Amino acid sequence: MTTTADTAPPPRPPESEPPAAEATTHDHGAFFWACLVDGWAVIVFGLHGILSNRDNPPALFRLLIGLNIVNDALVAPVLVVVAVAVRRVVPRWALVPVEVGLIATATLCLYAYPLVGGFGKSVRAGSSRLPWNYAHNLLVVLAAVWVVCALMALWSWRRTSSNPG
Amino acid sequence: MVEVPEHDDPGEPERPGALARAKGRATAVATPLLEKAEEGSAKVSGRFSSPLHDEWVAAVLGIALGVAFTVCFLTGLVDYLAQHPPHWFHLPVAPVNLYRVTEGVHILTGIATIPLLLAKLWTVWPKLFAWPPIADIAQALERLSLIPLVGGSLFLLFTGVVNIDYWYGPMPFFFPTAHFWTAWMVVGALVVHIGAKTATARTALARGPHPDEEGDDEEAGAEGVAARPEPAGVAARLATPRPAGLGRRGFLATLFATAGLLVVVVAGETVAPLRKLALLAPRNPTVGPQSLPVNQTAVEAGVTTSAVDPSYRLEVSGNCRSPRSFTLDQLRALPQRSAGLPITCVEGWSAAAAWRGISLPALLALVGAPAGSPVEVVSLEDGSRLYSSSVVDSAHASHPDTLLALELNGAALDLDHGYPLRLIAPDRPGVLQTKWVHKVVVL
Repeated sequence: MTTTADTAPPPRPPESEPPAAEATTHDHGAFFWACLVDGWAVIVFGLHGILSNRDNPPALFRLLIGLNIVNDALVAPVLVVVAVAVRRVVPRWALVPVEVGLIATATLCLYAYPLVGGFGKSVRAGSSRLPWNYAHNLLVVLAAVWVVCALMALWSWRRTSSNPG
Repeated sequence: MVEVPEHDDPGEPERPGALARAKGRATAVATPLLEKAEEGSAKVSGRFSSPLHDEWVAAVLGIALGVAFTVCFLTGLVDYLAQHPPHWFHLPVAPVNLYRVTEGVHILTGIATIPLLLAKLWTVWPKLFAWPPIADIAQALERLSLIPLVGGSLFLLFTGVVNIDYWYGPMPFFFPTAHFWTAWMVVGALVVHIGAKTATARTALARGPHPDEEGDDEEAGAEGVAARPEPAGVAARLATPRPAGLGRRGFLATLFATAGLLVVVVAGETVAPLRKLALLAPRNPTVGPQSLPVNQTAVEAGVTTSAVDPSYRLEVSGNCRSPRSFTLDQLRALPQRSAGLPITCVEGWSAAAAWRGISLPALLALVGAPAGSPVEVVSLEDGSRLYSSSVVDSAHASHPDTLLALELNGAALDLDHGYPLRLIAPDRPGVLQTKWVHKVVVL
């Protein structure tokens, strides 16, 4: 997800608004406790279902924890690096279209990866399973996305060049 | 900063001896470490200057995800119970597209959630470095619930996507039950999260997106903030130069547009008017034998010989007055009924088709089965295979449109569609529309 980059911040003016958001987080009222107790009861119910089902719970938990780690330790940092790089490389007038294009592209590629890889195909399963050329179709969809982004960039460039101040 | 009581804390009596000396040494070591950790945390958090890492974006995405996960959970619950029905659950026989809609909504909502979830996790990622990580036992339990919430949500989306793409390699477990029970954990964690974050989200939403640097927020700033007393911090922020790139609203608009795009390029596998746009759908509802997809072929089921055996008979037995068996010609000679019924698979695709065959209640009447009897329909497949038989509950078994079909779209069933005989009934998952039927047992 490439977005406005995380960089060394420009000097920010002092905040005088009350930091209400975080301050209220730890006010453990009745609603908080009700949700905490009920929520954990449901979590334990789900956990019990997984364990009592005995259908390879270790593999399930490995995947669940692994996805947690992959997101926090790999995906998020990589996105931050990409966001910083994009902000440094791409001219200001093209930044929004490029970021829009990259967000859509990353999401589409992530979703389409198993389709493009054809991992679910098999001769025995017949031709109706994964019937398309998904690499081709993904390129078509991405082309449509980037055409829209190019139009956005063109509009942004014209606006910038006609109003350089 | 985490306060570590000093040895000479007036509230704590002097404890002479080795224990006191050890405690003093531990404090001397721990205090600078904690201070350094706090400084490091503040330094890391300070680096996240993007306006997208704020509470308003997180709140909007959180609400969208809360709605999406609730829809997915409820529709998923229906789908799971329909596929593995306990004795107390019976999906109604009407409206005929009920299961088709719940399954389609489940899959498409899940797909739409992908960009929203990833963005939400990215938005709140800096909180990972918050210090102290745990303030009290309640917060510890709340933060612990983030493991099933984050990992479980990613797990649900990941397994959901690979399942609709028939990629079973990354799932060394039975998908339906793993998905089902993990969904419960995620919903529980979501409830905990709602309890912990409602106040934060409410405050952030009431404050609205800051009238900051972004061009697309200019109007919001003019309208939304002018109506309220403007704090000095907001005024000062207005004076700061605008960073380029996506602002908060643009970011959210991009995410929702991407979610919409994903839905559009997949939905045609179940929503007929969008069929031509379904470029990234795992199925095309018109591609397959007799223009209908097949989930399990005769080769996979191991029935290529038995299904075309000339000695084929349909046996009807069990709780009935006159059990009997029928040859294929005898079945064809029975009164036939036509029905337009959708076939809906748990992977999310569905297609309507014209079926023709023997109405199940008529067949049951023929063998003298008590009215309203449930039945078990058995396939020619090896009995040890999953879904090689299915139980048709009383309501479905007595519905005239529940057929033992001999024809599909005006022609004899293709072998892959269950030749010589298959079950087709309203509002049943595809895996329970048993193919290659050779036994009906009245229960």
